[in-house]
Amino acid sequence: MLDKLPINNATDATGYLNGPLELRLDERPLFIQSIQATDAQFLNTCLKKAAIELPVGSKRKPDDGIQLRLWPNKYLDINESGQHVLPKGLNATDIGHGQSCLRLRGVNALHFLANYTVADLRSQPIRKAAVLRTKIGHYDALLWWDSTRDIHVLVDRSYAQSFVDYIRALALRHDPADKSL
Amino acid sequence: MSQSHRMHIGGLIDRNRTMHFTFDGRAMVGYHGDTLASALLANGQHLVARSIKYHRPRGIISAGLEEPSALVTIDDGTGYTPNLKVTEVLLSDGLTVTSQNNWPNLHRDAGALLQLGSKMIRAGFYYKTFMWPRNAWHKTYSKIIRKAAGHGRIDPAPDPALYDKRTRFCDVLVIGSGPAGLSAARTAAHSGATTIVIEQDQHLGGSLHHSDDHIEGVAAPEWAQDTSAAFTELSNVTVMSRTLAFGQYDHGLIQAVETQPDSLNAKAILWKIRARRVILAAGAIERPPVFPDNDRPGIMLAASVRQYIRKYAVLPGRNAVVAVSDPDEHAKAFRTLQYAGINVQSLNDGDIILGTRGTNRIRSVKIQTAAGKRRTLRCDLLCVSAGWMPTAHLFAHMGDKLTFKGQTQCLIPPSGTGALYPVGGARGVLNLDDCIADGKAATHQVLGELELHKPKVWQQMDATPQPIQIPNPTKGKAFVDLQNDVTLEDVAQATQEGYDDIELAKRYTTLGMGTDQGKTSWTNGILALSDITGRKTEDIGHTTYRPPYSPVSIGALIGAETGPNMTPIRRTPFHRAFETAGCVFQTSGDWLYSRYFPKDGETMAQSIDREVRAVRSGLGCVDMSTLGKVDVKGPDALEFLSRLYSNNFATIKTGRLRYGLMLREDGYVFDDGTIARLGEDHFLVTMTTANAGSVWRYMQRLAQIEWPELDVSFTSVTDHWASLAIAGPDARNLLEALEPNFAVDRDSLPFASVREGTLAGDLPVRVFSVSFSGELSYELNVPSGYADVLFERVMKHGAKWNITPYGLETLDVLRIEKGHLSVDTEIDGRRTPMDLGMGKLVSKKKDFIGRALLDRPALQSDGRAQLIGLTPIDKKTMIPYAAHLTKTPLPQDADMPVSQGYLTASVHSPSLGHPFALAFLQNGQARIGQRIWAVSPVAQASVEVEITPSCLYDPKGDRLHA
Repeated sequence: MLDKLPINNATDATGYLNGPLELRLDERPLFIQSIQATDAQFLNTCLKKAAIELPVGSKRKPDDGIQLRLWPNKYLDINESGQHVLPKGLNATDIGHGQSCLRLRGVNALHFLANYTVADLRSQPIRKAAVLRTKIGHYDALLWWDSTRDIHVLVDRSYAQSFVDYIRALALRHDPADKSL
Repeated sequence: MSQSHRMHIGGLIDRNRTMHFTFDGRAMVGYHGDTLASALLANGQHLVARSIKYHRPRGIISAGLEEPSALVTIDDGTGYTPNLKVTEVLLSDGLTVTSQNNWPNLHRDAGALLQLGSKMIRAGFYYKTFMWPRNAWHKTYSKIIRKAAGHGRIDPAPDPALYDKRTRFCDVLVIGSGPAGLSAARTAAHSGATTIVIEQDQHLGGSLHHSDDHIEGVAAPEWAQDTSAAFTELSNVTVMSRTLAFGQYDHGLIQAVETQPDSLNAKAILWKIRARRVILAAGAIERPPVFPDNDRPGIMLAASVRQYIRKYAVLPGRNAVVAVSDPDEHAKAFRTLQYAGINVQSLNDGDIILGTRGTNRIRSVKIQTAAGKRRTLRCDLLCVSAGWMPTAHLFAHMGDKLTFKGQTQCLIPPSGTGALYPVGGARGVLNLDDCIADGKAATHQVLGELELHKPKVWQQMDATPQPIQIPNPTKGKAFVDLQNDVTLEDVAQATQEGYDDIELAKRYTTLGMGTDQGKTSWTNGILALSDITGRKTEDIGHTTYRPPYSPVSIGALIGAETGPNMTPIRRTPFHRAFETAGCVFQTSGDWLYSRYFPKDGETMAQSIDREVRAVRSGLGCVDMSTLGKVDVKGPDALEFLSRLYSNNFATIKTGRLRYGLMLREDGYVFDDGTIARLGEDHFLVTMTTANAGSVWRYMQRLAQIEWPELDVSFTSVTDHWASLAIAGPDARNLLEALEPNFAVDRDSLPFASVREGTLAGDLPVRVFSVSFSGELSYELNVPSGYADVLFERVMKHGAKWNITPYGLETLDVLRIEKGHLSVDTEIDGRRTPMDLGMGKLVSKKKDFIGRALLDRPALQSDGRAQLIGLTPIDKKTMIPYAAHLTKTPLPQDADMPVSQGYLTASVHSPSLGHPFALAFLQNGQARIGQRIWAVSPVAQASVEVEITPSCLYDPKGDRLHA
């Protein structure tokens, strides 16, 4: 892809959210490829040949970026350089402009989101995987993190501004001494 | 007013924090920790309300959410809320409390005159009386009745408070924190299970706070405090006080509303709690006995009196009479009243209450002793209790029925091993030690099931037997349901008139309705029905229990989803640029779509007219980003698409595209779109905005379930590509000006082609030569992050041809002029391709989804409604929206003529110069050239129209291929 032009963000998320939690929400452009096969078995075979260990429900951190496998027959290859390695036999489709990559940072970042996800972010399997697809309110979102203070959120670009507005509204409803965090 | 009835010591109140409030304009004070009920009683205020029907004076009966009578309107400075139970409202400084349902004032209520005619207005009065004249119900009666009935008025102003909805998960959820609840929570907590304890009160402890018993050698209130304090040290325990669990749903979901202190940002939070197991330790509710005039202020439930004395240090009266059937509760009440220094008289076994006296508060009780003597006992407080009703409502929310047990005189949940375990009072266990043992035993069982504990033998405690006490039918108004003014006579009348089933009796008498949902009345209702009909109480059953268990704030149910956050909104990549261009947006599904682009002072109609003319005569541009787009790859991609679409495109070459029609399995048209071949095994298919999601799911289902043998994969790229269509005679000129790195002349980029490349060497683009407007048109697709760049360049270079952005309204006019289809109007799920004039798009050479059932005789028969166009005979009159097509105009005073079809769209066509409409008409294609009437009973209009082809504008498509 020719990416000489600056990419416009989907949202106005930049900086601290209003409210007492001192959470920071920013959007940053990332290159994302959806890499897929017809079925899970074939994808597993291709990944094995390429010496990539990426079972369903896991994430992997190559030198540049991150790979997230949250579907049986596909995974996302995300990075900042736009250089993607495609294992032989698999299809790749650029979806980077269709996703908004948001980053929620703050001491209570994960605990804050845990109030609004249909999945239990504190459960042992999710804490271990530190990656999942879930819903935050009415929004489909993909989350991953290395630290509970720094959460990456992927949402569809068309919903992103609405999602950011929603997160802003939620942040106003908390308190420094909030027992739910 | 001073707190004349406040004790000098005791209570869980903070005497250093005085709270000021007013009741009907009279200044009063209370303490932090008071409920509004305890503060009113501390100020000697027993009369707080008037009853709903007879306007009888009513006081505070209970100390919890079962309160049937004491409903008030409260203004906390941000707005007022009606119908709040004074027993549920925590006192805060500055509250303005107003009594309801009275005029001119609470003490002298003119509505009380209704009591004079009370025999007239018993159950069923409305149904029988307001039947004639028929029209008067809506015009007169219902207005008067609605004005006279009900409690309070809703504040029409928006609520400025913030609410929230949150989720929580745990191993064990304990609802209630009385002896059984604390025992259960302590057992769960010590096992290491993640435990949540919910308590509707501000303090954990429940009934322990007004108990004078001892547990493990310490006073019950202290034991409760010590146990609660221990929870704060445990990281696996979350305590949620001021939280009402109001409903149980599938798979261990409990919903609860937490009311936050005023100092916090959110006023209330709806919690969705997923628990692996739920211990229901919600206790039991005391039942008032039924006797004549059992509703006077000053008649209170005995355990509630104990609560006011011990928990709030309030004296509900100075001279009390105790009429309690359960010996244990009787003794507790007696001891507590004596502890508070209240003069106490007591009824003996066999004594019957014949009635009470008093105007706005009880003054005396008239009794008949077991020996038959009649006596009058002077008092200002009558402590009553006829037994206990387990709070097992949440258990019954999942459809399980409670059973009336004669031994316990109440509805008891059955033993079971589901996700929710009632313990203690919630299953009729009333003895303190038994409650503690029951909570512990059930939790051991739960922990064993969760494999957090080795299984133990589960020894459930037996429910505590209760004395039998049937309603007293002595002469006078004996209320079964205090909130709805339902008397024993009403229940008897209902049964006499055939409404003897519990569900019918409820609806006929309103027994058990209202904000208390019969918490104090249901057992009495069952006993009354049993007594009157002679049926066994066990056979009467109960009505369906549904969430919410008790009223909760609608604000909390909505949370943050108000205003712009009510539903998710999708914005196209051009949204910001269009905002700058002055676009007026409209919602279309989730999308916020450009509607039109007004210039100074233009109306919408003027804007549309200008935009249409610009496209037809020069150049326009429109956002097409909302169309669904799916990237299809794989060696079997063509085969998959060939099976999916009805038309034949086996010969489609790379760089070309086809219009495609997709049918459902039943042969009806599902969706339409384009299929572009980008490479040998690479296609991009588009679908309508409305069907993008359903077509995506349909494709996935077909690939994964129906045709797993096909090697094909899909990626939704709807959001990845921003799509801007440039349309009009100058479209190619603009495309050339954008400097594509590929040829765009007519031969190099003919209609129905696709090219990939760049614009001006830096902007990646896919150009599709397709048209929805009927003009020469190109859809320019760029990665969404470059949408602003594309729009800026298009507007800049297009200025030479006076480019005009247009929106959905103009797009609709353009497509109607061309007879193009739209989902939900023409593609409405009941049309075959032939109905839509698209029979040529049904291949005879291949199989595809829907082919078999498309051949059904009914879908091939003559006389089916077919898509046609309509123009008014006078070429001037607008054809009414949604008109029906009939042989004759709309008659003045007769029924509408038989409809032969109906309109799907109607516009004034700037291009044709006259109104034009699309419609479905029986056998329409064969009737082109004939006249018919378009009639609208709604608009009271009839327009004679000529039947035309659906496409009147450039029917041969010359402009499209220009």
